[in-house]
Amino acid sequence: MMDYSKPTTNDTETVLQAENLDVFYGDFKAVRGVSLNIPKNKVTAFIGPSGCGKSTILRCFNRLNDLIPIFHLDGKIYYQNKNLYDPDVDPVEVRRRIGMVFQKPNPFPKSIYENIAYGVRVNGLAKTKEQMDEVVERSLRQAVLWDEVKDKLGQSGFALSGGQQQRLCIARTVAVNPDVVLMDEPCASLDPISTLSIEDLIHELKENYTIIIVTHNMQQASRVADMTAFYNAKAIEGGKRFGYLVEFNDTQSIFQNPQEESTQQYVSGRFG
Amino acid sequence: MSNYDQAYTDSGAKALIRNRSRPRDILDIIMTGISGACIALTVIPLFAVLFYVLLKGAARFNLALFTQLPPVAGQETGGIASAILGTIMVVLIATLIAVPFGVLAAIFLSEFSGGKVAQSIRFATNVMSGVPSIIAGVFAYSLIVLTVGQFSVMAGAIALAVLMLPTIVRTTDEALQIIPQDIRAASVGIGASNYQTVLQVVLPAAIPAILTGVTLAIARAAGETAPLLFTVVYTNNWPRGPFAPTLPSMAYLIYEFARGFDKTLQEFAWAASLVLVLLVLLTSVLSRWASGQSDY
Repeated sequence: MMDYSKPTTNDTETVLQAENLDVFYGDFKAVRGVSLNIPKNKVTAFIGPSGCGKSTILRCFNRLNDLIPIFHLDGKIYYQNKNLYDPDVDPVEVRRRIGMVFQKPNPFPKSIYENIAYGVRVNGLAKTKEQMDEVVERSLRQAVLWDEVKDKLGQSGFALSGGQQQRLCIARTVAVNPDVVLMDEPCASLDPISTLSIEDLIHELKENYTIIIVTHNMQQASRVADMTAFYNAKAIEGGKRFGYLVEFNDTQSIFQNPQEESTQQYVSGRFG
Repeated sequence: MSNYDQAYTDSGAKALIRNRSRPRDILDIIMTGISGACIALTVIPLFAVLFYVLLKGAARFNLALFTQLPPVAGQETGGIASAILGTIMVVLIATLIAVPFGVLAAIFLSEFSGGKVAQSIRFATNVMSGVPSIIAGVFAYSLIVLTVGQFSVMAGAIALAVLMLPTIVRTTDEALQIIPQDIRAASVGIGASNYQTVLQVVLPAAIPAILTGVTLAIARAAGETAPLLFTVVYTNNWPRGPFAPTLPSMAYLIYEFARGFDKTLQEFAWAASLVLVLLVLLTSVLSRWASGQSDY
């Protein structure tokens, strides 16, 4: 296995650095030996077949796996030179800095306005009603949703279409001013048109945020990502499988000139 | 007849013709008949009770019923206003006790405990919900009435609260479990703490279902007589606050008036029954409405 924790591109700084990550569910080591650097203000895609651990790794970056009682992790993830898994790190603050957009749009059962305002409020980021209004509008504009919802901010978030809900979830994520936005197959439950609108949005967001996106869709990875990491799963005895990082490089190289045979096979659609 | 037609009637297609004389078809008809009869038998008592209560209760169902005190023997007019007020008071106190405890316990059960602990608490609440109400009465009697040395409305309210708790814990627990894990992850994912997530996202989403449970618990408590037998002294007079030893209540009024020989009092017992039935009906409608408000 290659070590991709050395800087892969020289022109950007690294925002997140995974060092020799092993992920355990109970006693089982489900993901093994992942090391890679996530460059700042770029889109990094995680691709690979089901069960390769790409979503699991993604959720390590904002400590969302902490919610799973049997989860634990060996190795280190550095964010601004601080290991996120050090005992003195507050996972709640980690999640504010490293936001997440989920596979299925999951707006809160609240109004459109409150969907944004909730995160801002719990993090104490707005002091007055005016500030809150401002943050809500700015976030909805960033998610290219403002024009569609500005006259119905009081309506339930559930009243929106799937694509709009997902943009609402993106707006809610950027509203708390994160550095990094993790996206776990954000278009998996959307139609092609909504998917394109989310992809356009990702292009715009990378001006201000570092984005890591997990996707099953290789065209999507090639469209939106600057960097691509290919993960694969390896079967072991007892019918179990573990995931590992095969190759990490700029997207063009991964798709046109992969160094590993399994990457070549996967991106050309021959397995997975 | 062409060869084709011949083949058509002789072959498998013949079996498609309906034939009600086969054993399984006969069994089908008999079983349908039996289930239909059982439905009728089940529904008849329900409607008979409703009809009879309505018929008997209607005679005294007027404004006076809700504004006047019960008549003393020999008197012809009056109401059950004090009993209605007393029932409302004791049930209200019981609700104020049971809801915070029940909801918080359910939050712990659903959100902060797991495995064996949660399982055994759930089992215990299920057992508790089957406990006969008279046991709750005896419990409150021995624990409070005997300790304090006097009957009190508060003791009655606590006995009712004990009866309400399992319903509230169970429905709240179920309501919280229904809220998708996604929403919790989303809340935690934008930097909310666990208690912010539970109090500001999960609990509000579960409120319609919790209200359903609470109204059902209230409906049950309002009609309970046994816990009050042990804890308060019945009176026809106005309730005198939560710590008074006496309390007028509808369920007890029905019990007192219905078994006497005074025709007028019996009429009031029926009227009170009607009010109770309407109350249960109202809470059922309310709870249906509340559960219709849920997003999940």
